[in-house]
Amino acid sequence: MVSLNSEQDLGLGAVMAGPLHSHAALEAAGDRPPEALTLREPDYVMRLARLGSFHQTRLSFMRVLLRRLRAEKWQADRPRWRVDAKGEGIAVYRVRGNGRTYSLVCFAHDLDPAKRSDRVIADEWDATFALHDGDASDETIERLARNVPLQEAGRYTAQEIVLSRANKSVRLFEHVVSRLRQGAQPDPAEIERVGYLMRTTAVYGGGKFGLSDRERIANRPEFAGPFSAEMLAIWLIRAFTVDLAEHMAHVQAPVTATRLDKAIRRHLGVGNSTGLGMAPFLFNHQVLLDHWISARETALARVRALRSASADRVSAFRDYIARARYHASQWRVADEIQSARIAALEADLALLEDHLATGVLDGTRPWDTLFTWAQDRLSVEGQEFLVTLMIEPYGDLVDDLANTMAADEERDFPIDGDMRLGTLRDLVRKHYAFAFGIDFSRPATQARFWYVSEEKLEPRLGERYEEPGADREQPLTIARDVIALNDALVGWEGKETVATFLMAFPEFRHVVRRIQTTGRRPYAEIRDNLIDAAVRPIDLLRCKLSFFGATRFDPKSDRWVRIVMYQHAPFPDELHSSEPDDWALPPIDEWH
Amino acid sequence: MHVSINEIDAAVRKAARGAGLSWGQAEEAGKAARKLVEHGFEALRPLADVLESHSAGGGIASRIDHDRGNWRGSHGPLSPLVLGPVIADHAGEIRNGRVITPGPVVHPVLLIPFVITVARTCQRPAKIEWPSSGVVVWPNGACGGDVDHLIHLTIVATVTCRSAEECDVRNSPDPAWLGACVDPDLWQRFERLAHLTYVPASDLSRRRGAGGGEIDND
Repeated sequence: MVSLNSEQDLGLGAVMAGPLHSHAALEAAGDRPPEALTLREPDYVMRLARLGSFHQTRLSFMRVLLRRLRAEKWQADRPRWRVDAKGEGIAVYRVRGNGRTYSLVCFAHDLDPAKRSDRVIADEWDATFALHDGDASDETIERLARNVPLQEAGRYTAQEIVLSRANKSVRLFEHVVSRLRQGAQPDPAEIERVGYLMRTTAVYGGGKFGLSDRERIANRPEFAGPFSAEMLAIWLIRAFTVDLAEHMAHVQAPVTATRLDKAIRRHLGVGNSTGLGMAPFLFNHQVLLDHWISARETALARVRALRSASADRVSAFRDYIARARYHASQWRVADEIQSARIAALEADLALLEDHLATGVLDGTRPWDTLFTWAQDRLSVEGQEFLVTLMIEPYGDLVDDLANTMAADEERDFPIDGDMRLGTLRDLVRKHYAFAFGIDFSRPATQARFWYVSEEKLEPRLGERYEEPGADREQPLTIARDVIALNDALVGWEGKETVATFLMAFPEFRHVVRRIQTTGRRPYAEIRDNLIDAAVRPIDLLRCKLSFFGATRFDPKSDRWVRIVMYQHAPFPDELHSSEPDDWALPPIDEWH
Repeated sequence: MHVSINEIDAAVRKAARGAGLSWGQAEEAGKAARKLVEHGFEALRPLADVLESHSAGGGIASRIDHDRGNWRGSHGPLSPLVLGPVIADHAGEIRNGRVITPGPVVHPVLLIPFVITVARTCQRPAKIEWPSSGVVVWPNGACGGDVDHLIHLTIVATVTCRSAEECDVRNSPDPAWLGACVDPDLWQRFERLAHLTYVPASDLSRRRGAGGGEIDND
């Protein structure tokens, strides 16, 4: 086996430029620049059932990050690897570019199997990580060694950007180590079944526990996109998980052990287990939500507005459908609801393939025709997958939208006190019609309440009529609150100002702020009742995770989900030598 | 202890809610704390004092009585965390020349973040004055005038807030975003109030929790 030494350079340096098309090239190829765009209606898009059917796209943050790292010629290496025969020790992964250096400091632990839990209440993990801003000196590593293994119980400085931890998929990890130790490669079926050696159970950024504030790094190009630092950390964690497995095989059988075949290695991503902690995020970050959805909807609209589709685009699209059919056939979960949705998706993709044979893409506005056709025929899961597929061949047309997905939330924060109450009422009627359709006298419409648990300081969902605590409910009650506001506005003249009204009714300040934000940014509100008995929190998780670029959604209940990140993506040592950005819906390789 | 700006925002927001402010006011208190730290005001202690007064329920007004055009506390002096957002709501009128003179108000330094919002909305400096002195605030958060005096005022009979067209442009350094060093005892005061927003675990909530099982091996 080729052992990784501690100074090994993981970057190969050679840069292959990806195919680039200008609008002129588009025109020459038979595609035309888009005309005026029509975006899908927020009342249609911003429903939980639809948001909860989103899939990764070209605009997903993992893909955006890797495109940027490659374009900017970032280099990766592993300046430290001090892991012992039990798998305990410290490793450092480093990336350098744009004149800056980031170091993922990894702490590998020999965890008692009885303590291995994905829940946020765990206090020990197989591995813990911090993404440090700069080179990690011995002093830094010593300081981090006292804190990072404690995770939330440690304290960090503005020099640390991300904090994370991961647990092994024990069965797959042991299978891979055992095969490598014998000089053999792992069983493809085993790798396909799980898809990762370790899964993260939390990835913290944004100033938690003293970490760097997002604002400190947001003006660096590499971190301009949302969650880009977190995505970088996870990408490096993935490299660590494979190195650890290879290391364990090597120390156990130095003579016979081999390394993972690189083609097989690509099939390993990083798992993630996500529960309710993430659920309120989209609700609490209205402007960000609007920017994400707007970018995706604009990308779709740009493709729909094309007057024709060139042969190579159509050919690429057909190829993606074939890939999608294969990968959907491999997407197997225990959850009955999701299983039915995957079955429907498989049928949708077959139907789509058949429909292409009718020549639908030969006419004018072919993509719009296809998408309109799909609305009545495909499941919601299939419709939203079609969004992914349709924008996939058009990177040159849509990738710039990734630059619009960050948000300065501060700017939208002040309430417009000058607004007349008549205007406020109009906004309520225009954007919150969904709330007026809910009969809040029915107990089921308020069966749930969101709260923060004293035990873990994490968001949780309670049963209003069975559990105490509803008096401390979090304000994820926008539908109910808008109705209450509307009632309170009775008797007020339309020409009165919001400022005057709020002086009398300060309890509506947060509601008015949301309505005004939604008035400016129509995709900023989830147009559903988040406290209904039928609410499925995983819809919120799925939406957010799809923007990260997660795949293989595997719901474990209506409130937590397992996913895979970076599966099939290049590793740091392949970034500059592999096809750029052709991994999220990967080609079907011979190993499949 | 070192805390990030976002931690300050979150801790104060939760503490304000725990102290009984509305959700919107709590969000604004968090953002106000963030702005105070960003612009170098050492005002977290008076902020904790005000929040504890709210929590105690007496001695500080959480509603504004605005009969006859005067803004007074409905009972006792005004809280800057109640008054501040209302001043910011009136930024448009202030730009058009309205002069607001509420009072009495406790810890007027806590009005500064809201006056910054006024200045930003008006795109010109705003002034906050009290009987013996005053401070000018620029849209970028720069402050001039008797800032030291303001920080030490525990109560003033009235404050006057108005647009200040005559002031020149003043540069302000960008916030360093390095967080802040906060006395752990002071931090505890926010956490104690924040704690009032948390729901203790029950058997049912533990079982349902985030939805996961106890041990999660595969």
